[in-house]
Amino acid sequence: MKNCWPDGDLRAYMDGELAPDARATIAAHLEDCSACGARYRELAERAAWVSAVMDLSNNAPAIPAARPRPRRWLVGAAGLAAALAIAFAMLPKRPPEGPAQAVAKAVVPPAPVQTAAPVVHPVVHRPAPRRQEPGEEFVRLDDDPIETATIVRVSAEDGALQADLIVGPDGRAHAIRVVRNR
Amino acid sequence: MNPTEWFDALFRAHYARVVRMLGRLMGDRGQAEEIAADAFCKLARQPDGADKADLTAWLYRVAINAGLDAVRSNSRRKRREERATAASANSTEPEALERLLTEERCERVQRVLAALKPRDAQMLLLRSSGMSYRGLAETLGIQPGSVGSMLARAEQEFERRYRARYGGRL
Repeated sequence: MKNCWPDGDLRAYMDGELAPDARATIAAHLEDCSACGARYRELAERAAWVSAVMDLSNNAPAIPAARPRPRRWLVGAAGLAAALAIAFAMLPKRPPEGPAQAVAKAVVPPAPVQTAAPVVHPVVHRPAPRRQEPGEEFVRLDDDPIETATIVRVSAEDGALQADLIVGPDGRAHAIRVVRNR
Repeated sequence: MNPTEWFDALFRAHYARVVRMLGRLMGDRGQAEEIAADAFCKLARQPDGADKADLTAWLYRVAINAGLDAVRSNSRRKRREERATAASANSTEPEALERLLTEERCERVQRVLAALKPRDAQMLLLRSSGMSYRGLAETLGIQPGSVGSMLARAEQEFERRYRARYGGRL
């Protein structure tokens, strides 16, 4: 068969990942070549099947009702704080300036997350005494809408490293951001 | 880019995706967050000056491999827990049965992914998280023109192994 296309190109064509000229060439070829047409259908059926199997598995409950683990978000938060602690521990530190003061600044997440009466729990008892670095944005962890949320600040090390978590009524963290003090 | 900036940039760009991807693999959001945090912990230990694209690819490989390792080590415990759950569940409750079925589906996929070559499992997980071919090429450190053929091969291998174990059942 002349000018037949390998599986990889047919697969990329299926996903719309080819340049327009290659796409048009393959489309024309599939009109004329029954072998490539059959091969394309086989690849498409397999891709759809694999996608369906993986999507079904993804419907597993995040927190199985049969065996809930309360305050699960804390586990991830603690792990992240530990991770960030190491990152910041690597950075050169300036000596603290002035007396320690509580840092419990409420932060407003980007829409559509709405925080009603945000409650800040400053876990930090020895927060870094310098100003908060502006411009840190929350990283959304899912697209679940939540009506109310609590902003929880976690910290590690000597307070030089902090992160804010937006925790929904389900007890899960829905967004996170690194808070750095200068 | 100083050390703070490169870590922040990678965190903002990839943390949520890594958690979602691991959540898909693990079927457990909390465990996904733990593994993602550990991967970023290891990322922070990487030397300054490393190429950002290399670090990104490295991050995803570490996260997925840690997830697959966890799946393998969890499998025995999970089976034990599932038997306990099944024993305690009222078999006449449709909700309980559906939950067990969903968990079983998830574990089948986990077992098959864990049995694949790491590169194939990485490809399928990253693609199912919605990553483009360009992103796949950068993350996996391959030529963009090779993504289609690698994806097709990974899907073929996944289907072959899944059907060998479980037939055509979804």
